[in-house]
Amino acid sequence: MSTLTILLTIAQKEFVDHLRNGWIIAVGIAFAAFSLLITFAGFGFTGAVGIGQEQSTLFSLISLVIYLVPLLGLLLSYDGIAGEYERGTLDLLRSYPFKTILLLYGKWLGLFIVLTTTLIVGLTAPAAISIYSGHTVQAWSLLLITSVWIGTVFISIAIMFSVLILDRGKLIAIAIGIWLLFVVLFDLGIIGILVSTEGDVPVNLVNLLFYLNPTALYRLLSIDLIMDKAMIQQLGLLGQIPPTPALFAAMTAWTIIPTLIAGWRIHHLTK
Amino acid sequence: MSLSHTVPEAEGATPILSLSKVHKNFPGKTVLKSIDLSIAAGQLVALVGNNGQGKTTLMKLILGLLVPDTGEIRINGEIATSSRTTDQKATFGYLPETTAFYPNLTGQETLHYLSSLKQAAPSRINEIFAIVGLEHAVKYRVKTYSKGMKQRLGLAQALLGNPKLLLLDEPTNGLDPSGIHEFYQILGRLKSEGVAILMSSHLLAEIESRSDALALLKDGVISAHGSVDKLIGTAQLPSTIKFQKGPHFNAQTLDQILHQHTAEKTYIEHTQTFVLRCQPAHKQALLLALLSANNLITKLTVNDPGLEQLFLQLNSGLKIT
Repeated sequence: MSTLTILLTIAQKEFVDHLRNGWIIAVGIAFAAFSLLITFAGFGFTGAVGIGQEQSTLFSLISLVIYLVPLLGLLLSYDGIAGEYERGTLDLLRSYPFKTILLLYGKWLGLFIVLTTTLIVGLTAPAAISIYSGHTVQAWSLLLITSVWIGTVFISIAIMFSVLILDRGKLIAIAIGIWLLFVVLFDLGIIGILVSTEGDVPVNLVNLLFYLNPTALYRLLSIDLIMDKAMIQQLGLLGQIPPTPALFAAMTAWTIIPTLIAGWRIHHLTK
Repeated sequence: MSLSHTVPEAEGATPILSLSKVHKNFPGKTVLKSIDLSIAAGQLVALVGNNGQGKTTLMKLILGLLVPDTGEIRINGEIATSSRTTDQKATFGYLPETTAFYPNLTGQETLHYLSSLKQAAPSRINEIFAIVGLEHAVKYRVKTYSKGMKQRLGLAQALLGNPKLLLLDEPTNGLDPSGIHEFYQILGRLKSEGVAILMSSHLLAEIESRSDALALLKDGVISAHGSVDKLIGTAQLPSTIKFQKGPHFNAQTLDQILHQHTAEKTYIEHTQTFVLRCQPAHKQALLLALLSANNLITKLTVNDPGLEQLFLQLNSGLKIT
């Protein structure tokens, strides 16, 4: 049996499991409700009401994604490997004639598909309304892609901790902690630094700090790819966003490095 | 009490599994010391010992889930390195002590999933469900299964891919009496097909008549290894004879008989019962003498030494060396 078949078998099982336990439908509908609320109300930073404020709607949706999708990625994946361990199936599968690392990557792939499906469910309705009103498919496609990407980063982080800790009780606390750190505390920390130094911080240092937070990278990447120039200027970010390839590289690193650490750990579970 | 030590090797050509001087430490604790064990095709070896004696660790070492600190493990005569090859893994069928499986999948989906990962022929799935007696529940989700049904599902997955060596960790946990009976019937059939089985269990009465050999783990070492009959014989455990006073009971006569047949006597006051202990070799003559004395005794029961006594004696310090 080929490596690909094993990967797909594990991914398929993961998808069916999350479809059956209602995760995809429940979270997808909840996300759709929030997205629709934003789309209809158009309560972006402009405060305008009604469909047609595509840029402000998209900007508001980017903020929604920053708050919700990392949490979804973490909650979806924190017990990916620890759950198998506590269920007794990790040892069982490790005794099976395939490389254990495929279990990890198969899980990762399955969770990626689950998240992608959930976000498609969540974004389809507002996207359809917006596109029906004459707006571009491209912006919504980019929003979906970057949203899936930031979710995938947090899937990778959660899977890494899942392999390292193997204790669901601790992992749920870690997942919430990671979300708080990256989504809430990090920005507060930067604001604190800027206030305490009265803004006397080199721009390069602030940019460097952004690379340490995938949600900050996501925000910059999404604004860079989705927003038009006028909107970027309105946000005060014209000329301030790091080069797109650098953002891509940093997001790729945030996706791959935790997965590699998880792979290394699962390979050394026998020690 | 110290007796002559025998470590029987599994008979036949190359054993399917052999361990030599296997040693395993965990931080601050030595779990297994110098373990020697071999299992041949068609042999059922029972691994017994109190909790925490290293039974599960030993199985994990064999499977390659843990790496021994020293010692050698051979699978089909081939030295197993720190990680098992795909071929070596394909030799195993493993039932862990507790396996919850996936609650949202049906039994059939679970076995199809595991069959794919085990690279086993899916055509045997229905047959295996019938073997373990789960054919009526294949369409039910695993979360609706009882503990016994989950245990049967666990055994079913262990049978996928025609394993040559079954490693079963407390396999009858949760099975009802008829389930246990069926389980041993399945094992008997597999043994006759040449499958080697290493099984841990606390249920000594089950193992006694069904295992070909016993390995008792105590304080990290195999303190006894061999067939149950041979171990009991070597340990020279006494037979027990219980009775009450007959209408013509005479203490002097009883003492004379006991003296002639080298038996020890205890009297239990509240049940008014005598308990005699003698070597099994003397049992028949002693019984004959007791029964020949006119109405000396009544309500006679005889117990030969069994695995339970052997286990208790070994755990209380008896050494078979």
